[in-house]
Amino acid sequence: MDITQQLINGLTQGSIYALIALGYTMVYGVLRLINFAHGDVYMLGAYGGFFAASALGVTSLIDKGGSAGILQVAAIFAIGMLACALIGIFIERFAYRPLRSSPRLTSLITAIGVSMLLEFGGQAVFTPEPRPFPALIDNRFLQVTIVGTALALMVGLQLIVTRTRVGRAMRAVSLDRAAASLMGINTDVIIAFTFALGSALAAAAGILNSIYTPTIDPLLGVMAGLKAFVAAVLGGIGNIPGAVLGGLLMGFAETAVVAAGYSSYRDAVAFGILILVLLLRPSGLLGRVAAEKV
Amino acid sequence: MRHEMLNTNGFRRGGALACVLLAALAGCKQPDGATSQNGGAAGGTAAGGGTSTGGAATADIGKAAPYKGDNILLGEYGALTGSTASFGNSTHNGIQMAIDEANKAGGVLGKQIALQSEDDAGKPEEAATAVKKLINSNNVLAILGEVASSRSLAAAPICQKAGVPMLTPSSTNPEVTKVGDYIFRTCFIDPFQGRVLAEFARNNLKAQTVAVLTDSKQDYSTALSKFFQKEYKNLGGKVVAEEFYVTDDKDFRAQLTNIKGKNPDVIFIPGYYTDAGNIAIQVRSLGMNQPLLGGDGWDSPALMQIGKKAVQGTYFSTHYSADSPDPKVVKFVTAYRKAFKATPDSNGAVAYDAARLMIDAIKRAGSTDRAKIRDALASTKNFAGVTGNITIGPDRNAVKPIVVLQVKGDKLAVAAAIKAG
Amino acid sequence: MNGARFADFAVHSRFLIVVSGIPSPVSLVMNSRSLPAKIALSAAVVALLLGVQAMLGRYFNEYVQQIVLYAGINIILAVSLNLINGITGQFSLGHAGFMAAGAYSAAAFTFYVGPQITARFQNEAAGSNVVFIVALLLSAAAAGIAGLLVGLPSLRLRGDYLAIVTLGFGQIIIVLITNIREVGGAAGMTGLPLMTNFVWVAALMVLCVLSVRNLAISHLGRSMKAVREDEVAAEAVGVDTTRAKVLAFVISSMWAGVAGALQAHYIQSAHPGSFTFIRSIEVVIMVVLGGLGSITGAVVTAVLLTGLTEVLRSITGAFAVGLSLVLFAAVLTLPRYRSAMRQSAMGWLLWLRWPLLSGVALVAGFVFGRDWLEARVAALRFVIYALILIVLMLLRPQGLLGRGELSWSSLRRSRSATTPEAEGASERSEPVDEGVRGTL
Repeated sequence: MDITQQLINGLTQGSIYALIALGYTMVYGVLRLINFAHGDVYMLGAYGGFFAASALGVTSLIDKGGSAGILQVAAIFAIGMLACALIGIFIERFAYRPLRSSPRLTSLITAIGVSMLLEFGGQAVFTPEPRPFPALIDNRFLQVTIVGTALALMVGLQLIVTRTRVGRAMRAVSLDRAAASLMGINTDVIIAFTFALGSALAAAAGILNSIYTPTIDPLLGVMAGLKAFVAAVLGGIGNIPGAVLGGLLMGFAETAVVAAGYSSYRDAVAFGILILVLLLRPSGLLGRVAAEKV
Repeated sequence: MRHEMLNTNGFRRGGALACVLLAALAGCKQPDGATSQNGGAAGGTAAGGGTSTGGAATADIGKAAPYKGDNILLGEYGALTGSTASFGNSTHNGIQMAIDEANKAGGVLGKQIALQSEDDAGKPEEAATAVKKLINSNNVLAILGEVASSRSLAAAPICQKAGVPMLTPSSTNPEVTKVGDYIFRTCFIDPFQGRVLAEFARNNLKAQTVAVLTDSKQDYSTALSKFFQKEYKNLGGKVVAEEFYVTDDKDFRAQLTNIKGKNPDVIFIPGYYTDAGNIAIQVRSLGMNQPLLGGDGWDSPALMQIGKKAVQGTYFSTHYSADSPDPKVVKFVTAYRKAFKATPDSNGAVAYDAARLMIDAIKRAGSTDRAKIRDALASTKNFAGVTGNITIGPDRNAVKPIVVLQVKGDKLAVAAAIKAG
Repeated sequence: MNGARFADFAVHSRFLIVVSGIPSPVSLVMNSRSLPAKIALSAAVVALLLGVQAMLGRYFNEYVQQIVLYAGINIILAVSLNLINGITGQFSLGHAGFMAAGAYSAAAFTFYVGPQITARFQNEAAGSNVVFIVALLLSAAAAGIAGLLVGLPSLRLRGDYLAIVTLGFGQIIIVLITNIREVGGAAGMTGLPLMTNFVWVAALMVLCVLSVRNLAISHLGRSMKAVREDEVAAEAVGVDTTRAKVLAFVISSMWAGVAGALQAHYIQSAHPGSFTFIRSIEVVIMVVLGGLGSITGAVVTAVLLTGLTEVLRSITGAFAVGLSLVLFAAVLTLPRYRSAMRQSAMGWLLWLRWPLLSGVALVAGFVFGRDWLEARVAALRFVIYALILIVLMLLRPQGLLGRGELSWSSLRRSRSATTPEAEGASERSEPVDEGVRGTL
């Protein structure tokens, strides 16, 4: 019973990490940029869902003892994801695009700047008080729904990347931006699309996680973002199946450490595993080993 | 000129350093009678940090400038940003409200009171900066803060050395007031609260076994957890599980699944309300129905707003009940609701009391001499605060009652009231 | 790596050596081989520091003194991190972890062993200074060992993978510290003696800057720069890249450890909350903003950013900083519009549209939203800090000084020396990580 429950816990947590990790990995794939602000976009997604739920009257409905309809929940997700997709495009346009030809560390610092801006701006606008997130999904099938939704989103993403024209363009940009541009691909549009896609997934993860652990505050993206980033690196950054694998592994590893009775070492073990894996496979689990050309 | 330079503390310490570095080269000799302050404090306790001075001529070194403001300027430092900003903000609200009320009633010593507050972003080194700014740049009369003991402990030696009274509303670590005779507090300390909660769990709830879920990142939580477990074991109870989480964690199901396997009679969660409501929901969602128990960190209306059904029937110890019929409390809660559109949490209430106590002490001191204010604070007897009557004991801690409340509907019922211990 | 690029790199290294002269009188003496000259200089430096300390104590209050001290500690952190991130071209995000290792080992020593040693001395001050010297050495040793542990993976890992390992290592150190009761756990170590003062910080800062600068122009330093420019090529021409990378990590973390020890014995406590990865990020910001590889750049930004966070405490300070940022941005963007401005008046408008818009927005915000902002001044402080980061990086991607150094000669030549250097840095394309290519 305990072990089954812990496996389910790990799977749920892991699929949320995986959803966030996908955003890191996609942006890295096309831009070689660690988008430090991604965790905070995840936070904005949670707030987006929160405000959407109040605006649609779902929050007061649930407070009165009712439950939300499927359409309403879908609408909340859609609003949150759309808002974050726009925010992602906005961030890319103004903070990263002007620096595309600069050294990568430069855009990393702007990414950190954007991250701080969202965190402290969030504390100024939303106040640091935690807010209760409405229980959009009934507790009985909460974990199943989260894993199912996450899985559906991941499959959807894989389809977009492998089966559509825009997905092919994304892969081309990832392979060689200059060459892709010469082949007539509008790289700016493709990169913006990648940000939108990643941010929408982060928003979905933010809303799912807020239903699962029902409080939100402006700093909730810091640790989640960091761990998802670790998950992306673990799987091999820039690699979509790798991010999913890394996320799930991270979720299971953390749960396993707690189940074994070492909950106070949880964060250390997560990073310890990462270091070990990277020492054995320096490019992550599914990352291709770098062939050095001279 | 050379004599004056010798009088500055830094020069003497520097002289000692130069001696060590350049002993062979310059043949430097330590000036006679210059026992430097760092030497005095090397004993390991901060208590000696500022008070040991070499002689009469050096007695004023490091002291704050005498107070010269036209009004009464109080300083406050707290975490207004960062992961503990919720507590910093409600503390700030409580202090601001006490000062506004006092000003409406004519101020103190015939002067209006002003507040200078500084953010420490939840970091000890920033707390040190904030307090130095308050003392040296703003020349505040006295200082209020912090919530977290680690930050109070970073600031206390500075206040002690400068001779500026510091009153912490809610730092519960016993070490804080041991720093020196200028450091006071208006809350109870961890060992007392831990004992009360252990007795309540063992005697009132008749719990044979208990599981503890501690926030390993907050010293408040680890200390309360430690004292609770010690007392609980002394009373013959058994701690069957001790699990940890860290502030900013949102998912506690893995730890709770472990606890579920041990099936304890009571689950003790010595954390803050920002996590407690969330934990309670996850406890219930895993199908556990045990009573939950917490400390004064739980005391906030947000606990019930977040936890809703999940926190029904849970117990926590605190300073006072916001639902108390006591007219003092009713007046405070109404005024706070009106000013900030929220029900005060215990941080807000204790901070309100701390600010009022400080103003009262200034009034009793009858002057802006900081030493006299210190004496007035130390001689506080039965000060009527909303969080109970406060008497400052010989170790500068507040001696005050503690209540254990139970969440019933949208009200808090008193489950036990324990006199000051 | 082709021949042209190698020649470019060779010219580059020589160029750096010429440019990177810190105040020339100092380098004259430091570069001379004579021991008496070095001793005389050291004595003069200590005497000067004592004088400055006396001045500080007399004319400035403790708040200002503390800012000066923090600036000094930040300089040590930034300059030392520059050795890894700037000079060797590796990417470390774990500087705060090394700081913690140093701070806690020194704190444990002064707390548990210090009193016994002090008691053996007749002169208490001398005793405590001896304790502090040992504590500082210990902090350097502990952090150096930690640096070695992290430096070893750097042999196998590249770029962002190395960054995440250093970040993880920093996190692990914090978790371990939080779990050790002997060093206070979550409450941290409190009740440490006050030992750090201006002379200690300034002397160590000077030592740190000089040692990193001398290292940078030494044989080893050139190996490090070779690793930065092209690791494979460097190895091919016989540079011991392993030694260069590991030593960069060890030396850099030793200084971080010393900075941690200085901080702990100034605020008289060591707390896990002081060494989070946000602290590492702060130092990375200083290094990148100053110009990767520029020692003087790191010094300048460390001082500026330390002061900035204090200025931003008040709403008027925030307003002043915001306005100066707008002005600064206007000046920086001027060259781009120069030709347009020559052609027509519209050019002026083109140049000034963003500065004017944001200036008006700023003034309007502070006039009409003053109460709202005043209530949020604490969060506003970091919002503006973040905006400065973004704007500065957008307008000056190579950092304040690029790879150049601020020196007597460069000042005389009105910074013409740094410009080609800086442009070279931004034009060179990053080596593409073949491993991630096309894996999407």
